Amino acid sequence: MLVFSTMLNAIPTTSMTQLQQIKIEGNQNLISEIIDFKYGSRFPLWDIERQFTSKSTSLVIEIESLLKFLLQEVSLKNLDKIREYLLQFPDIIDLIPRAIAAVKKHFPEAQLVMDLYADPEIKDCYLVLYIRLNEYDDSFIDRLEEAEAEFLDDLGGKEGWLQLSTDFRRPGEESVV
Amino acid sequence: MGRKYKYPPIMEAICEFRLSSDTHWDLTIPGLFYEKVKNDFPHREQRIIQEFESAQIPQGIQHVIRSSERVLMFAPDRKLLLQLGPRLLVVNALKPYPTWENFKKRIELAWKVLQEVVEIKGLERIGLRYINWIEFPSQIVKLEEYFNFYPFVGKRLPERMVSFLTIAEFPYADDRDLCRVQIARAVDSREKLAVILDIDYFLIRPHAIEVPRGLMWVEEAHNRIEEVFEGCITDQLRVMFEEVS
Repeated sequence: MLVFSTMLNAIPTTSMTQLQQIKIEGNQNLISEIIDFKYGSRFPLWDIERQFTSKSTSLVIEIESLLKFLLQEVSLKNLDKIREYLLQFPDIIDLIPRAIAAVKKHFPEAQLVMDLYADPEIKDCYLVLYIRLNEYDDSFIDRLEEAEAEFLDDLGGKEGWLQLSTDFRRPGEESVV
Repeated sequence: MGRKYKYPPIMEAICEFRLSSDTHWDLTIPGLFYEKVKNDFPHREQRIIQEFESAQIPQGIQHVIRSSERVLMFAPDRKLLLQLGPRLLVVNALKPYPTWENFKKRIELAWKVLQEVVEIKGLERIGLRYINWIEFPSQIVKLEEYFNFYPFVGKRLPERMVSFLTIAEFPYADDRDLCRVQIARAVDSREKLAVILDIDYFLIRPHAIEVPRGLMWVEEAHNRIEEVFEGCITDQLRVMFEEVS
C-alpha cells in the first residue's frame, strides 16, 4: 500500500518537482500520466495530485478543481447552486477561467462575485459574474463590453451561460460564502 | 450483493475505457458512435481538452502539451452522459445514482456500440470510479466517528483543519489492478463540512485484460469498490445513509 497524505496548502503549489519526486518514489508508472494545465500555474496541490494520478474524466472532480481556483479570484454566492449548474452544463467549465481573466484585465481593481441567477417566470437560470467597484464612472459599460467581447464568441453554441453584470454595490458590501 | 441505502452518497460514477495506441482512430468515429446512441443520449456537445503530458525518457522528463476534442452526449435528463475522445470512452452517471444495474446497462450499451464502430486492438486502461459526497451540518466533525479511512491527526496538533487530503492505493488481482482511495475536504460553505470519498479502481497493466473480457472486469471492479466503500465508513455513517433491506 502506498500512502500519500498531506494538508492541501502546506506545500507550495508550484513545486511540481517535489510532487514528481513523491510519485517516482511511490510508483514509477504514475509519472507518465497526464495532467490538465488549463488553470495556469496556480494549482492547489490537490488539483495537481488528482490530475497527475487520474486523468480528468470526472465532472465532479473537475468542478471542485474549478471552484478551488475560483475561490482565489472570486466571491461565490450560493455555492451549491453554482456547483449544480456546472454539473448540468459542464460545457462552460473551460470558459470560466478565461472570462475571469478577461474581466480582471479590464477591471483590475474590481471585486468579482459569482452567483446563479434564476428567472422564475421562464424557468431559466445562468451564472452571473458581478463586477463591483468603489466608483462607477462613464467608462464602466464600455469596459464591461470589452471584457465580454473577449469570450462572448466562445459562449455561442454552449448550453450553459455566463453573464457579466454589476449590482452597483461596492466591494465587500454583502456577505458572501 | 452490497448494502443498499435510501440516501446513497454517490455524486458521480465513472467508467472509462482507454484503448491501446494501435487502435485506429479518426474524426468520423464520434459521428458514427452518436448515430447509434442518439435515442438514449440525444444532446451532443463538444469540448476541447487541453492536456499536459509528463513522461519519463532516458534523457530526463519530457513535457508535451496536447489538445484533443471530446464529444459529450447527454441523456435527456442530463444525469447520464457519454464522453468520447481519441481512444477514450467514458460513461458518467451523476446523482441521483441510477443503481448499478442501470448504470451497467449504459456501460454495456456504450461499449457494444464502440466495438461496432471501432476495431479495438487492446485495452490500455479500464477504470471504475465512485465519487461520494458526504455532507455534515457542522464544521467540526470527528472524522473517526464516521470513517474508517481518514487523516490521523495527533493530539498535539490543532483540532480544526481548513483542508485535508489522504490517499492510499491498494493492489488487487496480483497487482494487475489498483484501487486508489482518497478522502478530502470539498469546497464548502462556512456552515457545513463536505467530504469527498473518492474510490478509483483501475487496471494498471496495459493489455492485461482482453477486449472481450472488458465488461467482466468492470463487474469485478464494482464488487471491489463496494467492499472498499464499506471498509471506509462506520455504522454511524450507515445510519445517515439509511440502509434498506
